[in-house]
Amino acid sequence: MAKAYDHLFKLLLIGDSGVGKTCLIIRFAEDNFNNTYISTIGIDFKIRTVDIEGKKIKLQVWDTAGQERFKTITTAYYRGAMGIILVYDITDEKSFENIQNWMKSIKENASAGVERLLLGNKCDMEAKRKVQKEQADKLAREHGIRFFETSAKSSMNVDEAFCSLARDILLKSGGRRLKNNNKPPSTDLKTCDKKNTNKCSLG
Amino acid sequence: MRSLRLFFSDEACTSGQLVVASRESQYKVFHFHHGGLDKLPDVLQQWKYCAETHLKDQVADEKTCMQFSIRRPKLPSSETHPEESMYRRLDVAAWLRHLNALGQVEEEYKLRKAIFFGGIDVSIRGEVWPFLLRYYSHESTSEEREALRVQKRKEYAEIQQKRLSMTPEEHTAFWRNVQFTVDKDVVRTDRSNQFFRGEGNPNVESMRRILLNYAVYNPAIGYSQGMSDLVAPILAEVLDESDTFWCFVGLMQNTIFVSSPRDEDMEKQLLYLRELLRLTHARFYQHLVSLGEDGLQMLFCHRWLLLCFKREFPEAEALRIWEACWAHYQTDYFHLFICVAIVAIYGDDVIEQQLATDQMLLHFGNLAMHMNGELVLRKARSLLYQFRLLPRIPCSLHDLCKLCGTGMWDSGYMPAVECTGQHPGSESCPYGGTVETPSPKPPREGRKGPKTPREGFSFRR
Repeated sequence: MAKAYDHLFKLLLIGDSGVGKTCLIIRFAEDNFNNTYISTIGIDFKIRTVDIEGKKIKLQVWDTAGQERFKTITTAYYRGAMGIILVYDITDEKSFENIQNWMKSIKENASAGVERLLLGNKCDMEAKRKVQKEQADKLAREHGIRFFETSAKSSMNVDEAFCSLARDILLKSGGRRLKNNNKPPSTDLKTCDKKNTNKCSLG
Repeated sequence: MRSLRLFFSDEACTSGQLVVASRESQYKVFHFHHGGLDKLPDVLQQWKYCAETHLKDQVADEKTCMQFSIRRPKLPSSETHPEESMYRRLDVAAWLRHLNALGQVEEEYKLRKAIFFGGIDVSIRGEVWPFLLRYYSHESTSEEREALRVQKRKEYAEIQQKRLSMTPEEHTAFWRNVQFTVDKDVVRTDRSNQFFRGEGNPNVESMRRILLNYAVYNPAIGYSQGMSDLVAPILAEVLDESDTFWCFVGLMQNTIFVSSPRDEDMEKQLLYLRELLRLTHARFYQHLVSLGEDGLQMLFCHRWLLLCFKREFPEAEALRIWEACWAHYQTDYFHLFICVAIVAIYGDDVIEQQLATDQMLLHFGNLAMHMNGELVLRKARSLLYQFRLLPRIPCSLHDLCKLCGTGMWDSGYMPAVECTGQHPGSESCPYGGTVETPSPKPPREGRKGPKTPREGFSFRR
């Protein structure tokens, strides 16, 4: 049977309760938004296939509670993750402060080479903003990761964010393959890419 | 109706025929021209009463036919509890018959059994739930209950006072650990329920206070996500804030799966569930085993356990399941029988299609709100009945029916207990090496020594 995709990437979202993880996933996978969401309990995922660099990438985006408390769930959640999206709420300072703790959680639970991405969600609520873009930019630079401000409500930057993460993972795996083909290891496709892209095309 | 088939006459799969087949193999053919068939595949794929049957010899990108079979989950009468149809829903008249002149519940066991089978009429839930949740004792008279309510209202006010008079440092810690999450959760809990609908609804504020006060009352548990989902339906039925609080205290104390949501409690539930599946649904269990550690974690049922199926069934059915669990009839673990029932009724595809862990999660996730709660309940009651008929049970399930007492019988439920030999490390099992004969006496220390577990805890299917 013909395979409907070239790559399958497991992505996951982490961040405090109520920052909009589930909304981001629903916006990305179903292009939908509903103001009255319920808290996530347990573990769940949604799927969307996107075209990146001519490849069909099936993204399996995992969702869990911000306050997840069971080791079995945490372990299963992080296992095999290739990309992790850290989410905070721009109207909630504490959720931004806690990004540091979530970074620690990644170190403890995820594999070393996992791609990361920082998102400041709810950027449609400018009037209630508590976290300045510059603060987050700085934090992202310190960790050497990309940063977007998104709105699951208006859909601003949502596709861009998910796709840029998928692209980074794709290029990284491509980069490894090049390395295996005896190309010089200094060819870092990822950094080249970072300079000129912050958008990607969707199929 | 037995099946629906779509035959496509064009490459785009938008024209062709719809063939409806009856159970008696009669057919009705509808023709669709000019792209008239474009929406139907999606509709059928999403329709809960039919399931797509994948045709083996068809290449995915050359679709010429789609087949759907009609789901009709049902339970043959041989698989239902023999007392199944003997109980009607507990309505006002029936409820009053359980009470004597002083307002005491005459025979608690009978009441619990009636609720286990028939459920409680919506109109008297608010009155009966406080008994099930052990806020009111069954022996209490109407008068005593009124006195209790007054006293408990005072206590509740004191707890609230304690919360409101925290030092700034205490308050900061409380806000970080509890209030921050509670505030986010209460506004997204059951808001489609009329009782909690609308901006500035005072009932939402009530729910919020109950949860915050609970965290003060029981700081060891504090607040865990999911608790708002459990308290909301109680508040919507019991109405009074203080009474709801104390009912919630009872709920958290008496339902093991939510009372202390720590790793070991969850592990214990999953361990029992695995064992119960091994015993009652060996094929499904084998499938989990074949998936390895990941499969045995049963991620698909974490939410079932944490919210007691609230997100798996429409509210009316979910609350019927809650009542059946709260009845503590013959077991404190009826929720696990519900899990097995769901797997037994809706899990065949998982085995047939050998679904992997993530697909299994998707399969059961997609079933949420599309399952038949009454059917699941009936199946679960029958599973409990059959479990109680077993002459021997593995030691791993010994506690499953232990705590509920003998009910109206003089002799208790006392199957022989056999050691399965699967104990971590060198932990010794009181049932190691012996097969005990059924006896009402407490188990004696058996001979020690290696012994292979006996095969065939057979279960009537």
